[in-house]
Amino acid sequence: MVLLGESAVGKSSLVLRFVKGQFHEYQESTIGAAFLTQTVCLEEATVKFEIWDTAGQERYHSLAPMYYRGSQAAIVVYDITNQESFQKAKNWVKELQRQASPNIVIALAGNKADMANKRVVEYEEANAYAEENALLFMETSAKTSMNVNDVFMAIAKKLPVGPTQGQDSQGTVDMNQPQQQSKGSCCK
Amino acid sequence: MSSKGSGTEDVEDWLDIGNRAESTTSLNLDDVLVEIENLEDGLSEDTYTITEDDDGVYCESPSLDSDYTYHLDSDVVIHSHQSISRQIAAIRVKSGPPVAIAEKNGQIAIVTSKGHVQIFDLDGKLDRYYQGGEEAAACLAFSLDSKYLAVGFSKGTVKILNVKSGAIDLIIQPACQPGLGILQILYITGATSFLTLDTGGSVYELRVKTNFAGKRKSSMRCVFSGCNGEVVNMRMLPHAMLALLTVSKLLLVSTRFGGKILGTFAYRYSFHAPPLFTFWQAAKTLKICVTRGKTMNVMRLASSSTKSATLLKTLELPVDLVATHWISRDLVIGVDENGASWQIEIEKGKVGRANVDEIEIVFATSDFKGLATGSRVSEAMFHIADRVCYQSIQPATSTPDRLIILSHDGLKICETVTEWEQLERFRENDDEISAALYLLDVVKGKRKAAEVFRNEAPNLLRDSCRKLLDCCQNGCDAGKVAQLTAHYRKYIKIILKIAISAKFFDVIYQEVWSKISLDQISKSIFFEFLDDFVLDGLMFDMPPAILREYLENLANLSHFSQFQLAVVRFPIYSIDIHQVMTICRANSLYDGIIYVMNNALMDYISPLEEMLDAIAAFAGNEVLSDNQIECGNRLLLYLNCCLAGRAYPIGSLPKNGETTVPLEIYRCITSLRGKDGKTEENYPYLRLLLQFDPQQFVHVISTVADAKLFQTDGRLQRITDTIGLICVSLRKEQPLVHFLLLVVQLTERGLIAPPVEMVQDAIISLLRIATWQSGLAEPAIIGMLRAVGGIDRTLVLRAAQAPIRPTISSFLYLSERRFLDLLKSYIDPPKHVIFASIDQILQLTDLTSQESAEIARFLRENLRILQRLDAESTAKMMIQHGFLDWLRTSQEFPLIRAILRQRQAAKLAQISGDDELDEQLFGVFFEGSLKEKTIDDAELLRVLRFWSPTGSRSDFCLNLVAQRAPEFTEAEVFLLESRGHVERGFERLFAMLEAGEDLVRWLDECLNFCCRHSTHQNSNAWMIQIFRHVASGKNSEENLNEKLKMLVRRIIDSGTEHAEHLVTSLLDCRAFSAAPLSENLEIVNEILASCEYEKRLLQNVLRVQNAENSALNRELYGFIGRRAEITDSGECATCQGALTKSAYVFRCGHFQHIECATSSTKLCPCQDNLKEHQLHRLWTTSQSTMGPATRKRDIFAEWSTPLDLLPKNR
Repeated sequence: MVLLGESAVGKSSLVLRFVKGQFHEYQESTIGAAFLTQTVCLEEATVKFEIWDTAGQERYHSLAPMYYRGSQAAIVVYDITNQESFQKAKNWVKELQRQASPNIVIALAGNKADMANKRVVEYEEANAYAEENALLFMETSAKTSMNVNDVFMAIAKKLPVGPTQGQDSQGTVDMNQPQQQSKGSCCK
Repeated sequence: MSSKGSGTEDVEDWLDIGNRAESTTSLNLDDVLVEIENLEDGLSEDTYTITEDDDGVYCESPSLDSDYTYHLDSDVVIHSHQSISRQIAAIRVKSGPPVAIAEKNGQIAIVTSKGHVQIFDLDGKLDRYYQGGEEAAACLAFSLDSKYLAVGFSKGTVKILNVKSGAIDLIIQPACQPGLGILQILYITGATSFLTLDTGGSVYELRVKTNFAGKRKSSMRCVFSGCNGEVVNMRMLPHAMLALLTVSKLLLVSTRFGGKILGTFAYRYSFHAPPLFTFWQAAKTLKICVTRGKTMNVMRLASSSTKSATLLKTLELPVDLVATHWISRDLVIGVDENGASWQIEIEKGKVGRANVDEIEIVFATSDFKGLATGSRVSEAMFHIADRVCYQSIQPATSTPDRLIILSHDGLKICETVTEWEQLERFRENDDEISAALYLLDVVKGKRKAAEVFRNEAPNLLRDSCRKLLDCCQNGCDAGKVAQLTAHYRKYIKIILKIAISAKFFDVIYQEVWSKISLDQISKSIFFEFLDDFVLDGLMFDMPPAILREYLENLANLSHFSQFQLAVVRFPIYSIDIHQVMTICRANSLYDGIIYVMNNALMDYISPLEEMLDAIAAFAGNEVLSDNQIECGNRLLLYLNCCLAGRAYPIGSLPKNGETTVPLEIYRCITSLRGKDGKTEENYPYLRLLLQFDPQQFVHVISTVADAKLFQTDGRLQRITDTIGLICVSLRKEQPLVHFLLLVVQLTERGLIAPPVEMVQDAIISLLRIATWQSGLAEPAIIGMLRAVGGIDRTLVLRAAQAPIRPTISSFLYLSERRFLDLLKSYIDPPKHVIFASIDQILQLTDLTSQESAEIARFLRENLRILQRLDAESTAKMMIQHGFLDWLRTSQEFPLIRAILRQRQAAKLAQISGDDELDEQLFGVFFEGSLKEKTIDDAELLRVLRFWSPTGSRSDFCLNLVAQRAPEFTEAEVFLLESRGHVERGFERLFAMLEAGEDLVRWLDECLNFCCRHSTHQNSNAWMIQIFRHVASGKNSEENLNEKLKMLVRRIIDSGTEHAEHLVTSLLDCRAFSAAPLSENLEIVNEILASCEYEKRLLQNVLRVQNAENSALNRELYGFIGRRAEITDSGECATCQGALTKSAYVFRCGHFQHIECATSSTKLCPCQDNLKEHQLHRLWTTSQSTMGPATRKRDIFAEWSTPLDLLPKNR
């Protein structure tokens, strides 16, 4: 999985909250990318997230394909108090749709939901955009941990069960269609 | 009501629904009622949505992009039928205005107010004209076989005309209840059986029979009585179903089985609006739409299902409707009372006013008010009469998409607009852009259309595209360049959108290009709009000539980023390689170079080497520019793609390339001597990459570690070892850290066997670097020590001691459970980091008792060293881990002070829990604080107050402060008070006051002291003593007044408790008693005001208390009161009758007969609240039980009543 989005929208904070349950008010700016792992158990399967937390700074933009090309899922993060970050998120979504794997699960996360009094990106606007582009959408707050686990769980549930990309895709099971489960192999 | 069959007729054949409407318990459609109630409870409208897709094409909304939107005209058109309208107008004077219409298979019959009937065909040709008497007609209907036309009159007559001959076939009088008028006629079978609806809301079935003599006879019976709720309209549905719209509900009746009721549906009350009904029949389902006022309910009826009706949607409309018609699958047309038409899209729930003229509807007001029969109609009928137009708006029977409307200015036909008409309208408005976008939506299937139109749409769109091109070329003859540019932008954008979306590439590359390229402005705009489509990869088979110009244009404009992105999106055979390579080399555009080399020359190595050479020039720099970073990142990304067997930057490699390319690239970057073999160092490329950006290079390896290339022949292991070798030789922090992280990652993923010796060397090398720049080194080493076994930990530990790496040392000692060794390593010489280690050790949950004892012993032995190192941390450690008992033997002041501070911060007024020890420790702290002279009187007082009574249990502290008097007077007074020496305390304070320094402060203190001890026997004496001192002659005269005032104010501020003594003392004081009142008026006023203030405060408190309790008082009064409240009037609040029957008496003073009470909650009509009512009921109950006992009994009241000795229950 890869996290994308403009600089200082809270990508690293989201990952830190998800992986370690921590939050730092002053999180250091990410350089290049950071690699973290977290395992979650769903009813149907166990999912191990290998998370590439990329740098939001423009100078690292050209490296992003390295991380998202092999990813099965992406979280595009924007800051609800920053309109520009939402625009940038739209560009990321467009880029993912053009260049990433066609089966990639994309989630849009409006971070810093605890700062709703400074909100400039309306929930309805983002939700409408997400619906148009068939994205998962949630407003999150790494600070209060609102919806953080939920967004990762929602992605986990949408991931196909079975061999990862690059391997034989036969036997891949869509968890949304339980009747298929008996046919496929499982990564448990 | 029930009805009997007459003679020969079979009872079962008659409709009989009167009584059944009353009891609908076993109806199939009861679910509907429940669902409606649920909706009213707040379910959203979308709870039930239409899920089936029974017929037609799915219609998606057009594109939301604002530049590509267009507005459709209304879905319907209303046009006047000129021929019929003229003929109606022609006979208007003679025959009266038309009042009702009927239609059957193209025949339209119109009846006028005088009962004259005209029958037209659809073209408007008058077929028959019947001119009867002068009786007012109300309605008419064709028989199902179209042979007869029944006309209903306002006085109850029905005349049946033979359509063919125009002659009267039969006159039925009356055809309803005598004395009432006919409102509607509805044929149910053939030409012999029909229903009539009268102004009483009753439905009659009439049957016409021909006897042997050829004479026509009719029989009639009532099938539904208006007393069950007046029927106002009847509609036939498919499958022999009849819909009866009563004033309160819809009844669905089967006409096959003697009038069996299939279901009922109650509308929401809207008394002034008539109930409306329309339906839509699809292949298997029947949808009905029931409207009353502003509420529209859509349901689906299914014939074969346990649940035979489902509520699909409830819509709230902006206006009350008077007519509805389901005109197409998803569209219902409504008409409001002003004649405006509304479009209701059922599926989307969208309601909008149609862009058509208003209609002057003919209302059947006089008939529904029963004016011809003496207004014998119900209130319900009367209320809807102004808005009823059932007879003047009729759906056509031949096609659902037509509605025939009778208006005051003629006959109107309402029809759906066809796609052709819509297209024509756009063109009439000179809106070719909208026409083209509309066609595009039809072509793309986003808008439903008839099949013929859909087939024709691509050709129409092609023509439209050409027309747009003409408009673009010819639309702007003169004007400024800006206007021309705007004009071009408007059209070229749309032309490109349409032509590319519809894949008309021949139109773009030939027709559009040939015209657009003639003008430089239009050409540049064309290229500008092409960018997005190129990025989306939508431009197929672009001719090389156009592509060449496009790329040249980008290069000329220096849009190199777009240039690179564009080049890689065109097939290599359409690119001019020479042009692209020239531009790319000149501007260092490696994406273009890579694309051409990879695809045209199948060369993957040269661009890599070229880029490696490029970064070699700056890789060693401390600071890199953004361009340099971008160049390096591009190289890393290329490397990543090639190693993973993917094309750079998009697409895929040729079939055999997936195995050969990664291998070639791997061999290149791992080559021992580089390109020419001349370099002195080994692995020049790996070294260069690790030097440029070790983190990203390691990420490249990590992200492609799963690739087939690395999974065969142990290549991943080899490259990891090589990287380790280079990193160790580089002896730089970043490469070493990221090498360790790489090994950890790959080991955890089970992809390599960790190179233990290499890792150990890397760790030692890293530990030997004096200062680390990033915070990653420690976690990297610890991660490695955790993940990889076999590392010589002693060696690592030794390296971690100099320079000291506490986290790593701790980790190593702790992992081997060498707790004491860890602590010893920090104690000599003492290092502050020991406290973190102590915490870490003591927090371990699996410590054995022996280990715990050893650690405790060690710490106790070294307590002095620790407290010298950091008393606060030592105190924290002792508190946290329960070592406070050690204070019995070790009573160092700094440590005790730190402990007391932390306890005070935690708001805990105990030190060890042992009072004696606590007192001892506090004594040490108190003495030490006084000796250190770092504490002042106020601070000391605060400490004493917090630690009270620990500090005041003995005279130890008091003696200490007394020795240093008067430095700590406040603390001393506090201790004196605490020890019970109150008088000595006052003496100390008064002495300070007498001393004369800081008069205000000590006066304050004295007064506070007096207030604190106001119950003390000497309190008044102290107060007067203070006052006399202040007013005494020791003070100079001029200051007296001010001081007095100040004192008086202080006394008043502390409350009016001493006001009396104050005034007495003031009068004793010469300065006051001798002075004129005017001089001291202010003081007197202040004293009085203060007393008055307190008095008012008290009064207000009492008032508030009373007010708050009054409700309870009243309630209490209600329970214990013995007297009934007097009623306001002697009349029942409902019927105004006298109090002669059983009644409820309400708290508000009204009463109501029990029989007049309608509500179960028994509220007074004046909205008396329930609680009071219940209270009164309680009161009356209590009164009735206690009455005889409490009232004065009149023993002579029943003197004349004879004795009744019979048993009570006889």
